[in-house]
Amino acid sequence: MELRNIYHLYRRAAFGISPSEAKKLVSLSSEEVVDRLFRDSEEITPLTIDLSDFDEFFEDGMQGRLRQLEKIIRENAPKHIDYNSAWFKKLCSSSEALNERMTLFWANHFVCRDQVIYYAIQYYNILRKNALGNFKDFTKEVAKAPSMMKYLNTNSNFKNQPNENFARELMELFTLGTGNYSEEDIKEAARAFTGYSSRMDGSFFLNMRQHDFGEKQFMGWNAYLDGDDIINIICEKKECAQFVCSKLYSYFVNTTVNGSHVNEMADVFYKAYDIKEVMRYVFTADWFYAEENVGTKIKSPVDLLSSIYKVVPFSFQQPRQQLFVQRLMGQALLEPPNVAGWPGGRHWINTNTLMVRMKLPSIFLGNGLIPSNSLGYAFMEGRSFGDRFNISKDWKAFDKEYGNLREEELPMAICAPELEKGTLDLILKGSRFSKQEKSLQLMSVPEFQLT
Amino acid sequence: MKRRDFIKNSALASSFFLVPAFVKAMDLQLQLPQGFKRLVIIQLAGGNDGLNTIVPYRNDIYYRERPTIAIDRKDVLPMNDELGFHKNLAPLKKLFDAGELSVINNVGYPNPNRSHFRSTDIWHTASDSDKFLNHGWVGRYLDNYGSEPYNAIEIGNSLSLIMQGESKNGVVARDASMLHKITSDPYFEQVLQYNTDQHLSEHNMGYLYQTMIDAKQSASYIYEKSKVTRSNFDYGKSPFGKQMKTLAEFINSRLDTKVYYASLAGFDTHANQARKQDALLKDYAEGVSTLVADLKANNTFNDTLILTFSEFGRRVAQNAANGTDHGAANNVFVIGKQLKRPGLFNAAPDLTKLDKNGDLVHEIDFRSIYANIMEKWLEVRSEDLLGQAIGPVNIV
Repeated sequence: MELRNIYHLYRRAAFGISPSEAKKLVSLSSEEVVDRLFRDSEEITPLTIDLSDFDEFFEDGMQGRLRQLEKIIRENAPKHIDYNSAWFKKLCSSSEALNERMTLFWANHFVCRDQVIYYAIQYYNILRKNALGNFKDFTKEVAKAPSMMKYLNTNSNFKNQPNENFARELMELFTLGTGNYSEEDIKEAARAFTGYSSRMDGSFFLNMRQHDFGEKQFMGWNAYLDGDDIINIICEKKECAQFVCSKLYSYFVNTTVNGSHVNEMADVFYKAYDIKEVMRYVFTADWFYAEENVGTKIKSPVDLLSSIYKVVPFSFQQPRQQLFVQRLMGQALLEPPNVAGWPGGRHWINTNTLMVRMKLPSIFLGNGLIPSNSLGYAFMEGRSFGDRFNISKDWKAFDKEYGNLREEELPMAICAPELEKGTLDLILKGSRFSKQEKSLQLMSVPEFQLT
Repeated sequence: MKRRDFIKNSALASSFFLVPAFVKAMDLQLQLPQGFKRLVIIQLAGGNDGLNTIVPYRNDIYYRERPTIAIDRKDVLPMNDELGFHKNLAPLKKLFDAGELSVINNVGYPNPNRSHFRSTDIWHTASDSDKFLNHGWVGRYLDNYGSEPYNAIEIGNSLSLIMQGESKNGVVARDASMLHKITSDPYFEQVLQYNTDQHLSEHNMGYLYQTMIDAKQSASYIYEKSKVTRSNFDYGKSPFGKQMKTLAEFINSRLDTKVYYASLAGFDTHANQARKQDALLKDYAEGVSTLVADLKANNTFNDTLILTFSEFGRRVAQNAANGTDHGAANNVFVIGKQLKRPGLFNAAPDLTKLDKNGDLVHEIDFRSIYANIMEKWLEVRSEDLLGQAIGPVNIV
């Protein structure tokens, strides 16, 4: 497989690849490389942090403790930051990279937010477990997760007063997309999800007294239907496969969606809703490697951070600061803005965020000033700007991976798009800077914002 | 070194030391029109429950449909013998009494969409509910009449659809001094020297380079112009309060900005509505009224119009979780000194005539409010921005 394609595949399907790893794969066929990617994600490890302080609270049968929920929310706030850090570390360094990439995708598809970290962790591990599984089973499990039931109010969806929130978002955002269902469908589906409840430990049960056992008229059916039935019926519609594939395409391939490529994907996906199968189809398709799809997607803030990490591994001494940086750029793990998730693409970029994003590598890894052969830099060289963040950076790891590369190899290893000659000359030719400084320059051009 | 380059370099170096880039700032000051009108748009995001905001406190249907969440008569601040403000809107009541607020009831659009995102898009793009536009009306205003990206500023973290035009976008600014500090890194100037026409025409790459140019142009302008105007009003500690404070500082430093946009999120109250909405309305009312006081103290209130909307109202009947589901028509607030009909602009919602979902039916199309503001306040042809002729209502 060509080096360029290996970088592309790993940037999109995982979180990048080191130059030495990439070089090792050149002798393999592209089928073999894709196989390897999937093989690495066959065994999935859930991500947990120590929550033993809260064990007693979440023991089964302690419904009375619900009243203390506000206290828990207050007390477990620092745990959110711990989980945020652990998650970021996992996506940068786990060998289950494809599964982590898929998990991040699903976290922005089945969007949910929970202030109780105990349930939030359960939720994200449901995403991890199903990330490459079966979409139908996945959707049913998500519907029954305590975090989702709370987030979209299925836990207060009662026979006599149905709450439409989950039913609406299920169809609009999770499965069909607007225009493929009616307001009547929403009302009927809401009835099917009545009585959804969970125990303190997060396990699901159907509250028989609140569940509506009547007939529902839903998409041509007129029968007793429960929540799982609704999801089955929705998945019978090809529009569901089409909608999900369109979101996958826009995330993994190009934000400008190519209708015929999506149709090819939907044909594969519709057969059994096997996520693994459709992703394999994408990563082996010729069009995935076409010029218009390489180095043309705007990185999400998490992508940007992980791509800096892949060049020079860093870690925040105070995890709170890492969360601050994520928020500044508009994407904090565990904190989606609303049920539609982050819109992505050009929405990440505005006058404010772009400049922060381009300045970040120098603030993280240097002194806050980007090396350049300008008058301004000459004035300021040696001063310190970026010491407000307490970050340790592993330049040794950089030297090991990038130190042996020829200078001309640096741009391809660091930036996804090809650089214009002028920009390349600015960085590579006749300048007095070290490889470390040149890498910092490469991470500070607009091209580094693309993947 | 050429003279021009020398000025450029020394201006860059000096701005980096946070010394005013006086050459540029002075140029701009000469071109600034004095006393122009500006519009502030505030979105209550998530769908504010208008019926618990402007309360029909003598309406039996209201109390019947909302057994646990209706606002008690005694908690209402009456506007007339039918409607009254939510108790946390006392600061708005003051503006109302002073003739500086119009409350417009029953605003919406035909075939209402009850998705937050779709309905927000409809409000932002001013499209019909079955048409999809990918640019907002303020963006189109910039396309047609804007000369600088900072002619429209969003106070926040992201660029909303309303601010995106076909060829131009508004600027996002949250912290002017930080933005200025970051953009003045000398390396960025060098990188921009190498952008080619091809660069700028390319898809996302072009977008990045164009945004970078906009940022560089705007950041130093906004910073230099606004840094001397520090507000000493107390806006509290909430993020919305901070947004309002930044807004006041920008307006009072008389930036050449015609439209500002800010939003306050969290109004999606499907469950336990009262606690959340009470806090949000308080935050909103305090922030906006402090802004108004600040503008008055700086003689900028006369030329400022503040429009507040939410993407939809909520269902008349409450749900089982002491909340409300997505509805349709809602009320809109317009604050300013030059209102044609301050107070209650039109009649209260008619709770006996609901649509088949049990939602309020709209009487005034939101675009007729836009049309009025475009014609009379921004002084542009509304047809150009709305894509169709829409009869304006007479608000300003």
